[in-house]
Parts: sequence; C-alpha cells; structure tokens
Amino acid sequence: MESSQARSAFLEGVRAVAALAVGALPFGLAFGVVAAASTAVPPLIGGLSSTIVFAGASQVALIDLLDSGAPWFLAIGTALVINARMAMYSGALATAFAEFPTRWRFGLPYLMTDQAAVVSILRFEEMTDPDERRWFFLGAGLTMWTPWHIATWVGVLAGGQIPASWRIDFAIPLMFTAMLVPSVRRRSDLVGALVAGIVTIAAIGVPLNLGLLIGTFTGIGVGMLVRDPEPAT
Amino acid sequence: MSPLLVVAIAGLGTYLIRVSLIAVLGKVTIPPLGERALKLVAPTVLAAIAAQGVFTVDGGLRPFDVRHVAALIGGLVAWRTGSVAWTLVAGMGSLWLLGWLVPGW
Repeated sequence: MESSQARSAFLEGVRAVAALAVGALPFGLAFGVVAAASTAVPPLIGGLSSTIVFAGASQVALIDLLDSGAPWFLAIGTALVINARMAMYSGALATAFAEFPTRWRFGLPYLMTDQAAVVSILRFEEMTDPDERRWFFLGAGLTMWTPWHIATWVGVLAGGQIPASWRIDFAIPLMFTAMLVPSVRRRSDLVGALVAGIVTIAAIGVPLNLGLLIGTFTGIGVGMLVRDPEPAT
Repeated sequence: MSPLLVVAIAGLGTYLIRVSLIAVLGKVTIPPLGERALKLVAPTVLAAIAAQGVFTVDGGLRPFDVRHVAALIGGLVAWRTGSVAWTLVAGMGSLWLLGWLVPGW
C-alpha cells in the first residue's frame, strides 16, 4: 500500500471522530476530578485506568462503586457489564478485522470506543480495502484516545483546584444522556431504557450497590419482550 | 484487593470483550436471542447510569433541584441536535445559570 493512501485513510478516520473527540474533553476532565477525589482508589491509579481500561463509563462506575464500599468483584462485574455492548461492535467489525495482519487484528481492538466503532462500521460499507480500513480505524481510535488521556490527567492534577461550585461532576450524567439519546433507535430500546432507569432508581438502597445491574438486566429482559415494528437494524 | 489489581482485571476483561468476536470469527456466531440482548445493552446501561447520576445522591433519592431541570434541558438538546458538545453546553450552561438565578439552587 502507498504511504500516501495510508495517510489519507488515517486522516479520514481522524476527521470522522474529531467532533466526538471534543465531547470527550469535559467527560475526561470530570472523570479526572472523580479520580482525584476518590477515597478508595489513589489518584494515580484512577488516572491510569484511562490507559488500562480506556472506557469512560466503566471507569466512573468502577471508582464510584469502590468508593461506596462495594466488593471488588462487584465493581469489576459492573464495569464489564457496562462494556458488554462492545461485544456487539466486535461482532460488527469481525469480518473487516479478519483481513488485517495479526498484530493489527489484536492490537486495534484496544482502541475500540463507541465513537470509533460506530463511525468505522458505517464507513466500512463503502471503504472495502483492508489496508485503508485499518488505517482509518487507527486514526479514529487514536483521535479518541488522545484527548481522553489529556483531559483525564488535567482533571486528576487540577482536581483539588477546581471549585466545587462549578459542579463539573454534572458533566458525567450529561455525557451519558448525550450518548443515550442516539442509542435509542427502536421501540424495544425505548422501553428497555425507561425500565432500566426507573428500576435503577427504585433499587436505591439495595445492598452491594447492585441497583445499576438490576436496572440494566431488567431493562434488557423487558426490552427483549417488546416487538419492534420493523426488522432490527 | 489492591486498587491497581482491580483496575488491571477490569482492563483485561474489557480488552477481552473488545476482541471477543474479532478473535473467534468463523468459529462462533451469536444466536439471535443473544444479539437482541446485546443490542439492548447500550440504551439500558446508559439510561441506568444517567438516571443514577441525575436522580440519586449519596445512595439516596435526590430532592428536586437544579440538576433535574438542567438534565431535562440537556436531554432535549441531545434529542434535537444529536450533538454531545451542544448537550454539554446546554446542560452545564443551564446548571450554572439557574444556580445563579434561583436562590438555593
């Protein structure tokens, strides 16, 4: 493959997620502040989770649960349930990735995020060359990875200095709301989301902070019972 | 268990989820029922986390306050614009503005 072709596919990946990457900044900042304030996890390790786990929602839940005294296996279990949605992206990308060299095939998935995966799945409908595809995914993946790291560490280091009156922690539920809305595409999604939200709140006070998992699984169960008018896409 | 080990296990597990079907392509296929469940993971888990963040505080129900209103505004903006950036601008903006205008918020 020509290096100019690789570069242009890479840059296309960069551009495809650039706007979404801007959204990762306040989220990463808020996460860094959470990590800095944690009582159970040292700030350095909380910050490192951005590299080791690299999945914001689960990182927040992990620290949150450990801070509230949940046992380690439950904190990890919840984090993995939150990230289970990525198995779906893995399935959607598997055919494309099968044509990559082994190192790319097993290295690139580390960079998988909602944003990079969704953008790539859509783009790969037109872009069929495996070399272009892997450079595109690398560009998209790194474009999410970089601001996430910068924002995390700014948050960790600035943590104490950011006045509580800014209420930066509110950026976290806002970010989830912003991701939630486009994820609701079918009737079953809407029912599942409503049930999950309501049951989670109703489960306040359930031991071991199981509320989040109970809510999610109830939402999935009820959502599966709902018939969608059109074939699921 | 040390926090670093907890983070490491969560990281390893997350990588294995990411690579799962990419690694086993051709050997395993997800049954239709499993696929339906996986498609529901994103909306349900996101709704559960968002609801917890907006409606609870310190393990209890959050009394009605500015966050409910700001989250509603953010949600409407997310729905109309589909933009993460505008959602954050509208949500944080209304949080600050209402907090400044309304005593006690």
